[in-house]
Amino acid sequence: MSEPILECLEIGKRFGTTPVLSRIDLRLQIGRVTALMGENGAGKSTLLNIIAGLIAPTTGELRIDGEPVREFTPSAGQAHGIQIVTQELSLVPHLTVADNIFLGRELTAGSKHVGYLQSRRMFDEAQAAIDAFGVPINARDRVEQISLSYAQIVEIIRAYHRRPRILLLDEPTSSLTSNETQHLFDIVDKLRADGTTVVFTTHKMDEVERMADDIAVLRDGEITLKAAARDLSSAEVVNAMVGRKLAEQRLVLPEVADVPPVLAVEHYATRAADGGADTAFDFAIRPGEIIGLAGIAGAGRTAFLKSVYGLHPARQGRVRLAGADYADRSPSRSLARGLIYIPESRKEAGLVLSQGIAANAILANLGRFSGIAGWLKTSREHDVTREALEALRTKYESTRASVAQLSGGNQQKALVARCLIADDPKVLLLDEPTRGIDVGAKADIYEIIVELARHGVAIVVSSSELPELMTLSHRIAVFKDGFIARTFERDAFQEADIVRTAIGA
Amino acid sequence: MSTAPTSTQKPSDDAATAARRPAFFNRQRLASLVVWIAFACYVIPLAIAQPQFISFYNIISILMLISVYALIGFGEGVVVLSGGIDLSVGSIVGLAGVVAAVILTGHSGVGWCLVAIAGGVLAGLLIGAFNGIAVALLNIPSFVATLGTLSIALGVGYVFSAGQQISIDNDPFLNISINAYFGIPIPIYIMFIVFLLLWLVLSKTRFGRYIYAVGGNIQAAFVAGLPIRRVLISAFVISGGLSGLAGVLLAAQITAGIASTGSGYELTAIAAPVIGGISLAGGRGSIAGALFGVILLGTIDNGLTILNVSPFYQHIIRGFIIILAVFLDTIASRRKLV
Ligand SMILES: Nc1ncnc2c1ncn2[C@@H]1O[C@H](COP(=O)(O)OP(=O)(O)OP(=O)(O)O)[C@@H](O)[C@H]1O
Ligand SMILES: [Mg+2]
Repeated sequence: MSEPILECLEIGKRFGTTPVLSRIDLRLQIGRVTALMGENGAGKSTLLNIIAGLIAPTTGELRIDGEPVREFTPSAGQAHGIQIVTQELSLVPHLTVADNIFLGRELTAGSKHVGYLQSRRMFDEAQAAIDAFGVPINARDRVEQISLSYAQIVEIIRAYHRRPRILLLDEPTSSLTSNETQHLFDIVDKLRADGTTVVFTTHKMDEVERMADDIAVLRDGEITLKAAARDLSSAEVVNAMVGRKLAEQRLVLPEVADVPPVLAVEHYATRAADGGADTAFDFAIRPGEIIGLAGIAGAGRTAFLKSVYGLHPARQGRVRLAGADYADRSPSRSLARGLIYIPESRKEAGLVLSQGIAANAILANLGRFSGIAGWLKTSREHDVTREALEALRTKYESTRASVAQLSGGNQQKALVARCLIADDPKVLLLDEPTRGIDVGAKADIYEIIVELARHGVAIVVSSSELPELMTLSHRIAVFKDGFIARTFERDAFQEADIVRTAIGA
Repeated sequence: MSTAPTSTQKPSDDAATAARRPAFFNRQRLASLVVWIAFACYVIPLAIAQPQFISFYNIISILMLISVYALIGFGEGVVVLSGGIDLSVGSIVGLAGVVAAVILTGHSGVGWCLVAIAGGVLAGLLIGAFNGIAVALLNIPSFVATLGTLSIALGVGYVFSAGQQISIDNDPFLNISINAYFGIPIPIYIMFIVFLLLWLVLSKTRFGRYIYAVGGNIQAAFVAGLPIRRVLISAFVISGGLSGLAGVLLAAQITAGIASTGSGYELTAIAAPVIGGISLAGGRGSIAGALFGVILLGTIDNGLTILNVSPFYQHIIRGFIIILAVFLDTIASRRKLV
């Protein structure tokens, strides 16, 4: 074995009185790719953040090139050649893509103190780096104008462009589509060949098989498994993660009764078609049915769900809910009629980060928890929240703690908990409900979705993970350029066909 | 005021905008034009009805009137861009004037004049540094920290002046607001020089970029390794220093140091950048907006005076204009609450 470039020696971390990491020993070798695995809240992000210098450990020592690290700041980490792509987006929305790529590393002319920006050069270099990645992003666009997955790519390009010695990627693929994920893997291959050390986290086993040289598994803040990837089976990894044997999941989808649809969308469009072609589409879902929405980034799934829920107006078409025309759509009317939407971006649209977990979980159902004059029945609020969170295996301290303190995947669970708390839901619109959720809890969420369907709830699930849609749905509607290009029945699910429809090949 | 717009253009999965080149007449440009057009709709009829309104003399007097507001508006603009707010600017104006007046008491000559200027500016820098430290190192929200220094600076001004108006008779000092080159008094030059410097710093230098980054997303700025505390402190120091300078100029104009002269100026100082399109949520806008904002407010005040509108009504009209200007900007840039 070669010299370790980085060593964690008995690293421990507590937030207040909550221990999060204890006695972590980990060695990273030059030019090797390590997958850091673990359930939601196991401490993966915390460990990566310590290595990058975003937070300081409570105990233990971090060594780089054999030298102990004394200063835990992002700039000290960068000075050691460490770059991190954090789990949550770390870009400045009002600045351009190029500005963000060069943030903190601006190209300047003149004396060091004046720091006159060479904007032209930065744009050109940024654009070149983007083009090399093969995505249609304009370096002059502001980050707030580009999609979530492109923003994620910008962050990856930023880290890569700085030629790190150690690159930390915290769930880099959670908002990427498979095509972009492929690009990322190619880059990691190149980095590995150049001797860069890479650590990444993911909840997708196939990515681990494709990328990892080494695997380290965290459970409840301790390392439970550390080995070369080729010596491990995925069952062993999963066992080390969850500490129990995961039963082979056999989802039995309920039969869909032949009744009229509860939600029907007719001659619908959310955007103008290219060249004025009529691309309006119809969509209908019956009680107890689960329909998956597939498509590449920008295919229009989110826009469709949002407009049905009433967040955006649709361009044309009408919506019928439970047989009645539903033209004056708005979130509050949708909720009143049992039409619930769980958004894809938990930070921007989903959660009120400063608020407590329970307050967030019941946000859409405050009516049910308030009595005379809107007085909140708080004890019930907490009981119900606890029940829902338990069902999703959420790791949390108290329902009163603020959501910001939850790990990424547990925040997602607090968001998904809303559909368990909802009063008599009729239609659920779930946009990427399992983003960032660990394998164990994913299986639980599938069970819950199927169970809800069995009780007659109609469920629309949008997901960029095709296998997930294929296990879960009665039908899959494939979006392309803003409309439904084709619908597949369960007995005709063919991954290759669906992908081909999605990319329009 | 609209603090919500920053996150309205959420990244969504239907962002087909990615490959588009910035057009010359994009919404952004159009948005900044709308307020100018509204401005022209006010100025042109007025100038036709009352030609004296656009006389050289009147334009100079408008610029004189706004030079003090402009300096504190610029400083406020920097703080707002960095994601904070500075309520202490008005008190600093008064304090700096008092400090200058106290220094000049019984002293004549150019030397003491320079000392007085330096003293006034230094007082502002110190209060600004205090604000910056409270915000960046002690984690006190800027609204609260500067609300505190608003009171502190005012109190210190009263203590230094014993609650009295201290008149100034140092000739070089008084000449600051009297002497003119090419018919233009010194404060107007100072205003434009400060504007140019700040514009250069904010749009062309690394430090300026950091101000925008910290104001736009402080967490991202931290992860990128920016010296966020230093950036925040610098923003408040700039604001304090410029307010101190404004106080010195004002003292020269009114030939006295009075602790309470600047009370209420913070409203104009905040309104100006906001009218000019600087987002109160931080990270968005240009310092040119702050200049435009004071010009707009100054011109309107002056116009109303020429039209003989009572000062009582001027307050009311001014308030509506602030709201209207921001409203126009909101429509033009299609910002929404959510
Ligand atoms: N600032 C904080 N204050 C209190 N607790 C925190 C804080 N940050 C994280 N935690 C807790 O530390 C634990 C580990 O969090 P971490 O984000 O490292 O998990 P993770 O393994 O990355 O999970 P995920 O897969 O969901 O991203 C969680 O239980 C979380 O609640
Ligand atoms: Mg994490």
